[in-house]
Amino acid sequence: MMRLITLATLLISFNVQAKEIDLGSKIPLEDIKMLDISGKNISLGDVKGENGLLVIFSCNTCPWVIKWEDRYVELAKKYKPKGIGVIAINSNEMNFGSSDSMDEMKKHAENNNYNFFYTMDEGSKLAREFGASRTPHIYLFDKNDELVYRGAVDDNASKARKVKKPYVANAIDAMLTGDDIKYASTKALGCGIKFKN
Amino acid sequence: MNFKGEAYIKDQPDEEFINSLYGDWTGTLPFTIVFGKLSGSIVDFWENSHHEQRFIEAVKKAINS
Repeated sequence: MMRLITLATLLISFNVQAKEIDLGSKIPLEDIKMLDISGKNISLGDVKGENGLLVIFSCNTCPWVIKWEDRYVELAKKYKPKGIGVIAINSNEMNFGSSDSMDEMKKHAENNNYNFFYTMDEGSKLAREFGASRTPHIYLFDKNDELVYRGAVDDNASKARKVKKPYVANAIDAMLTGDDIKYASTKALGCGIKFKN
Repeated sequence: MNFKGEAYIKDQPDEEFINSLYGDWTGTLPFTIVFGKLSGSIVDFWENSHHEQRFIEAVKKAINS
């Protein structure tokens, strides 16, 4: 029997996906400046805190971002005071002229009470270098700039109160106390990043 | 979408679902996987959108494998 399973497929273009960076990797393209919603040009090096850096590949319209982004705000609220820099990066270059424009990013951040940097990744350079494939897609670096966690925010996009495994929060807590991170690499559904070929 | 095939509703955690369907899938959507008619084995898969021609070729492969 032939089975063809297609999940919300669009016939537009195709992308070549780079390999995702390995745990232990240093922060890629740390000095590349990106335009933030504040109007300033900032780099990952500017954002990182004394104890680490949380990078969130995100966008304005992905249903999974919409479901999870309340957790972005809570993570920033809890961990920025503990020396963790937090940044969301929009790499959807195909949509920079429409739903992911800087104006739309500013509105989206304001409407959702973003309390962290939100930058535009021109040319999707950072997404390509990280090997980020989807939104949301999370990367956590420690105080030595080494990758210690990559993957999902937690294990329940739809209902924050039903989360059983808060992957990112647990990873940050373990990182801060010097404990092993139980789930250092996880997967979750997310919208493909809209690269220009 | 005027899709007239079988459709299923996912009701398990993401990671369990992703790995049970195909371990190399990162979770990125849209995701397409095509199985052979007789063999039941995977003849092609891809993440993100793709040209129609790849769908056609994958289905032809599936019919003949």
